Amino acid sequence: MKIENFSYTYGTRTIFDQVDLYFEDCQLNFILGENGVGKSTLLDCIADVDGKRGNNFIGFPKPNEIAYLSQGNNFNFELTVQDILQFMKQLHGIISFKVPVVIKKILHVKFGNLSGGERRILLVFINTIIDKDLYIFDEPESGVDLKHAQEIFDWFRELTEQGKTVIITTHKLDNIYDTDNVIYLKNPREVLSDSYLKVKSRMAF
Amino acid sequence: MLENDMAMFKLQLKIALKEKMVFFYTLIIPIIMVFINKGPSFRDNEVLYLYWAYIVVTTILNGFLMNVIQLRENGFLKTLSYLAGSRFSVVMSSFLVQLLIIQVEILLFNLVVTIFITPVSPWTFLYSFLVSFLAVFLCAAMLSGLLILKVKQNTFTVIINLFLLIGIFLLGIRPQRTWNYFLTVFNPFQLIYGLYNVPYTTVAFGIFEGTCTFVYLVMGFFIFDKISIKSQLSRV
Repeated sequence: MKIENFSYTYGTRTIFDQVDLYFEDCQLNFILGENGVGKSTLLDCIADVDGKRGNNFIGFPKPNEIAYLSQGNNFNFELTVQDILQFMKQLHGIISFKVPVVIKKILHVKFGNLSGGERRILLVFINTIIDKDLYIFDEPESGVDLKHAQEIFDWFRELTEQGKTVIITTHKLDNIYDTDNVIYLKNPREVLSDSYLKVKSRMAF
Repeated sequence: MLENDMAMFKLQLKIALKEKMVFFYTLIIPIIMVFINKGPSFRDNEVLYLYWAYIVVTTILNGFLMNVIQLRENGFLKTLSYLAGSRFSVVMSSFLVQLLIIQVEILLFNLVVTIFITPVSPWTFLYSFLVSFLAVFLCAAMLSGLLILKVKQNTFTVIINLFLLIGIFLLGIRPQRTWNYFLTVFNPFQLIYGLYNVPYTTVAFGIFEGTCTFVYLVMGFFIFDKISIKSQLSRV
């Protein structure tokens, strides 16, 4: 999957200026960059949130074949975790799943009473159990402790083993393997797309 | 994707039934009002239409439009749209849940009137059931313009409450001639009341009501077709 000659402006601010980006199929693709560099904007464009994705987005699936968890995503506060899982089971294309221990512990808690980290784990989990071609996560480990962040990344790697493509933005580099594809957004005109090992050698993290 | 639509409908119904306070505004208040206003002049149909119009407009405003705005501003619409694979599935299920609730509320209201005030004919029960389908679509279409407003949720609640108060006040004054035409265009209570009241009105007003209905349905179609899942006020 690739984006060619991509430009994007937000008000008077230029976020991307004629850049090319490459994503590897069936792999974890990490988008890195400083705050405000356009990571979330890029994900919104890939997921076609506005329905205006251009022809320069090549090889990306349609929005209904994408699972997308953005930073502000939420669920109704009155529903319990059990209600949410029950709803998920009724959706088309749910992969048979085993409820992880971390979620079993909170089954009867209302979404509104969960901690920020627990909400994030639940939202990530429900987005990984639905059968889509492309999975997009915007800072999935935000607010999640180290142990469970590791578990979340294990779920992502299981998806790639099933032939799925995963795109993730993150500020934490601990869970990136040298062979993972990294898209480093340096500035509006400069983007590096390569394996983490190669990107690391060209950039000082 | 019927499975997704059904799942979404059940979820939205569960959420709607948890919001019990809404039923106070949409069902209990008209029941209280009908007891306060009952008297020897209480006639079967025309008076009932006022209450039906109130139930339709308040339920669409509080239950449907407020719900869609809350879903969108809280990021819930985005979550559900990608899980279900369609934003229309989410919006349509919310609408259908409110349609069901309105039908039940009007049925309960008619039963209360029949039992405690004056008998409501079986034809009136049937009439309320059939016309309410169109009334609910029309009301949602007319008020869909509110979805375009870029105002905070609290401001929106204030606007809705003012809207309801003014609408109810204007509904009570029973306008005549030009004033009636004017209010039918701009006051949802009057528009919906006019729709229920079409069999008892003049041909000219019936044509006018039909034209308004058509224009608002077309407008609503375009607004819902272009509805954004992104928050209008923040980057959710």
